[in-house]
Amino acid sequence: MKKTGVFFIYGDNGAGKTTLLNAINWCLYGDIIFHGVEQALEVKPNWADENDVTKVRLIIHDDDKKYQLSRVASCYDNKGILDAREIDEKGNVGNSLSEIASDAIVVRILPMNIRNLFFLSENFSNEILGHKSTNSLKNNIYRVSELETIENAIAHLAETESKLAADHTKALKDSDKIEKLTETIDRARVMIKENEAAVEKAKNKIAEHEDSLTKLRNILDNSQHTRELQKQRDDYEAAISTTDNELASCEADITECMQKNYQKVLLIDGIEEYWNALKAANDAGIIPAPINPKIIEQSKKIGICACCGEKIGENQIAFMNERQRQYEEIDKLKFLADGIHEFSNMRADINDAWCILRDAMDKQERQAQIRAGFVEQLELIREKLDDIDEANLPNNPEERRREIKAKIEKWESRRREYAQNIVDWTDAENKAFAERKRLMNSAGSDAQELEKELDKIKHLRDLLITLRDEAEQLIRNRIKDGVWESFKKILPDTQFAEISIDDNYTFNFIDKNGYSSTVSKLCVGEAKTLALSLISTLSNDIGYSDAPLFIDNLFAGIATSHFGDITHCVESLSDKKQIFITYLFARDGAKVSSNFNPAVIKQNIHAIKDKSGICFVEEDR
Amino acid sequence: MGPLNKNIEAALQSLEATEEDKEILASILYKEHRVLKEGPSGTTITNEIVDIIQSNMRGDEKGDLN
Repeated sequence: MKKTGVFFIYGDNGAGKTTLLNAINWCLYGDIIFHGVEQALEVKPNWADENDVTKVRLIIHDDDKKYQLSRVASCYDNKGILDAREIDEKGNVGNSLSEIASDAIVVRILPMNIRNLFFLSENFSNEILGHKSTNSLKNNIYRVSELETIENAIAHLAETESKLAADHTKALKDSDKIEKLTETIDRARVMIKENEAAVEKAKNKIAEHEDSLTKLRNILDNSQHTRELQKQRDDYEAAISTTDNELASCEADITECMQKNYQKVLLIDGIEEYWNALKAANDAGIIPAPINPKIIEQSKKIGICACCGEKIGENQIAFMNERQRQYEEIDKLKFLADGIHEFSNMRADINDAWCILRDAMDKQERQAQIRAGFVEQLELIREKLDDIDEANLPNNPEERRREIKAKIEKWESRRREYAQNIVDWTDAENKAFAERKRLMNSAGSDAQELEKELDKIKHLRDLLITLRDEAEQLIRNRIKDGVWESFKKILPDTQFAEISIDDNYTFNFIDKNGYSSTVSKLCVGEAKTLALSLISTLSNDIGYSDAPLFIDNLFAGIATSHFGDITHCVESLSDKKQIFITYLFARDGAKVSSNFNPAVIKQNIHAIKDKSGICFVEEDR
Repeated sequence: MGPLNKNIEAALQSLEATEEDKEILASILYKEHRVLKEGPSGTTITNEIVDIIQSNMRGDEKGDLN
């Protein structure tokens, strides 16, 4: 087939003209576009067996490449699977392409979403220019000119905004929670510090009172010590007094002894001289030595001399007796004997006195030494006592000690309370910190960030709405201009002077008399001309100006007077693309409708046929 | 950027917006265009839009917008 031109598909009713178009559509998209029958079986001819497999194969050219597209369906699989294969220059068919590659080939030929502008039923003008169906003009324009893209983007941005708004709301709640948790953490930290300070203060107070207690103990200890010193002082003073008495006694004894023996001591020298003379006389035998009769008696009694201590025998006794007798006989010697006796007594007294005196003096010396020791100790004690400030001694130290201990207990209790507070607040801080961390991690992004994104999305959505409106206006103007130019070109004698398209995509015509009318006022021929002009404009605009056009029963409902206009319109479109048109051509020229005039149609068709290839569908296949 | 409709491309170029916003809009429209032509590609379009906006707000490389 040629790459451009009109291809008529002739045939009688039921010959399979529409089926052929349906088959092409089904091969490309897997569904049925005409008659609203969405069954693959529709592409099967009426005479085919129920169990026959439906298979459609198209050979297409896409740029310099050639592909074979085929689809097979059975009664169990209406849609089938598109099988695309590349055909090389020698005509060899390659392996099946992937599903994506196959779909891409179809998209390059004609995307499914705009195919309704290229597969036209006999009522296509109503469908395209109408407002009710999904294939309304507005929908088509939105779809074809991709305003749908903007519309979808607006909708998706709205969805995004809604989703982010929900996240934002959650983030705000989380943010509120996080803020409260942060406050809790801050408060906990402040309370911990305050309680730490309080604990420190309590410790200081406890230390202070313990110090006081220690001082009190020291004072009490000092007091005891003082009392001990005082007692020692008193003892020493008493001891000194005693020694003083002793010394006085010694002094008295010495004095008495001295006084008592003073005359004897004074006389002793004279008596000594006398004694010596008497002794010398005795030694000379002149005067026998006087012997005290008591001494003689005692000496006799014990056998030892009471004077010299020597043992005496019979001779000494006899001597002493002789002496005694002599004494007794010699009265004149009585005085001498008395003198000697007296002297002896005096001498003994003096010896005794010396002993007494010496003992007294020794005692006096010892007592003086003892006293000196006592005085020394006493001085030391007095010095210690002088160092003690007895005025500081508490009146009731035990009560004071209890008071201090009570204060220590009180501060200790507070310290424990503050320490427990620290534990509690630390626990609260840790829990709040963990919860805040969890919330912050789960939040993903915070409310501020989301708010910025939301603002951005709102801004972008507003821009898109503006863009849609501006693009829509631009497209409407282009369509209006394009359609009007095409319309005027096809119908140069049109009665209309101006065309407009409103916001609802309704075409309005203003005739040369200034009267306006809508599409509904147009005849079928005019409407189809308008629709084809629109398709031409749109397909040029979207880059599918060469996409094939399939029109089922193009001339249906058209007055024969408009056949020429329609064929002219089709002819102008066929410059760039292939146009496949089915046409009811009754056998033997039978008239099948009141508007049907085979002669006129044939004439016009042949006019086109001269320039283009024609495909026939025979009534008997 | 992508095979946007030339009318939309023209409207986008004449839109009163910053170049940065225009780039974001073009990226979003290109995504939508691809979705329309080729169908969703795994992730949802709204997530892709969020990614585009967040990438832009973070100041990512322009190439990442696509």
